[in-house]
Amino acid sequence: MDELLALRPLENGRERTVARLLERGSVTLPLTAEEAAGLLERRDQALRDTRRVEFGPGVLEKLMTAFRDSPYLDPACWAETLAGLQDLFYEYKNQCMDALSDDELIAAMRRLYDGEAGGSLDYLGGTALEELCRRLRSGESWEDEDEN
Amino acid sequence: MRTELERRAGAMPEGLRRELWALLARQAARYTRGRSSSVSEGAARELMESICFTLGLDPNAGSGDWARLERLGVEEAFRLGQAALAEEMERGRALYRALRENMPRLRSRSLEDTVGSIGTFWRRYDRELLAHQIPCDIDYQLSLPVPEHRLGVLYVNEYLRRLWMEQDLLRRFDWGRTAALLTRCCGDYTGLLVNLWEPVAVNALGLVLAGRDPFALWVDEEVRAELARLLLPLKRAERLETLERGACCLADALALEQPAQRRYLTEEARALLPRLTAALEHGDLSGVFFDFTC
Repeated sequence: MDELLALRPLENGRERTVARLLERGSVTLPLTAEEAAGLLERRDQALRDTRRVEFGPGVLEKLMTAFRDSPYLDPACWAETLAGLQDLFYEYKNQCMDALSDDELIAAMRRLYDGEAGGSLDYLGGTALEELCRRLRSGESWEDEDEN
Repeated sequence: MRTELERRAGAMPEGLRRELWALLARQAARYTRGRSSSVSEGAARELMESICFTLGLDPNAGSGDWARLERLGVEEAFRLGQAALAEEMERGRALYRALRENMPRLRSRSLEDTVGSIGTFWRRYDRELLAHQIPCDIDYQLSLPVPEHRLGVLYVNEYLRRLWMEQDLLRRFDWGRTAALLTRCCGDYTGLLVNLWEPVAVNALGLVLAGRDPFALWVDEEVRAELARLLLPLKRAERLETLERGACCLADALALEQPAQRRYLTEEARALLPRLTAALEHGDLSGVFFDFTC
């Protein structure tokens, strides 16, 4: 079975993905080509760490769109923030046992980042998303009650 | 450094590798209903195992019939594989109905539970995404188990085929004698995980070998002594041959016409050899061929 997972094509459209990230950056916040390539490297590492397999171009474009107008965002740290968000995304995709779709998890991350995390990735990962997943696992409502 | 596994996977033609990966991606999208661009490694493995099973590839060997796949294309081969599995489902359903309609009078909780659980298989089985899985509980032990490498509906169908043969063979014997023999072998045969056919097959085989009526099912000390005289002087190969001949005679006595049933009986006779040999060496066949009181 391991060797069949190793069937993944060696070059999985990486250049195309970098180009798409640069294009997305032009309407959100800009990334350099080096930063975009670095984010893809980081994605591969995050997938290895979380033992997940990705088939599409990833969630970076969605993260860029979702977080571009956060009041806590420092444009100078855009690539670094995206890298952290991407790590958290895959980690909590596992933690929530895939019960949340990509879009739902990203929306929850944005809400918590702007809310109780106050723009802190450490708090977002260490506390806010932990709590969200705990509520999800215990069958409680995981969405912000204020929004219901 | 590349692992041996990666090296062997790398030997697959690049075009085929891309096609397989693309198929896995499509299956993953269906699995998540388009809600997620990634899946856990465990889910990916399950999906890939299902694809390999549908395509007839051995996931552990990692080679498979690549030439056939290249000729047909992965997509078409998968479509054909799915169609073949759908046919197997139909065949299995028919076999299951036949089995349900012809259950023997003998009670066995594990048999009843297993047959009941297989009844749920047909709606729980996910032929399209998880075709290699067996979503039901199969507790009842067959006299000759289905090989472990069989998966999905192919495993269930083979199990049903063997179970049907065993039940059909059981029905040829007197119910009262069969129940008495089973009670002698295992007092709580209705509640424990024991096979109903195996003791009947062994006693009937012993009687045939001793030149007696297999339908009597009753093997007394005299018959056991006769069997010991017959079998003890023989070498292993000769014993095996004698058992096979006995199975053939028993098949004739039972008027078995289906080659599959005759083969099944022969395999059972062959499988008896180690137990029989051990019993002969200890000079006591009473743990192999049972007597009983009706």
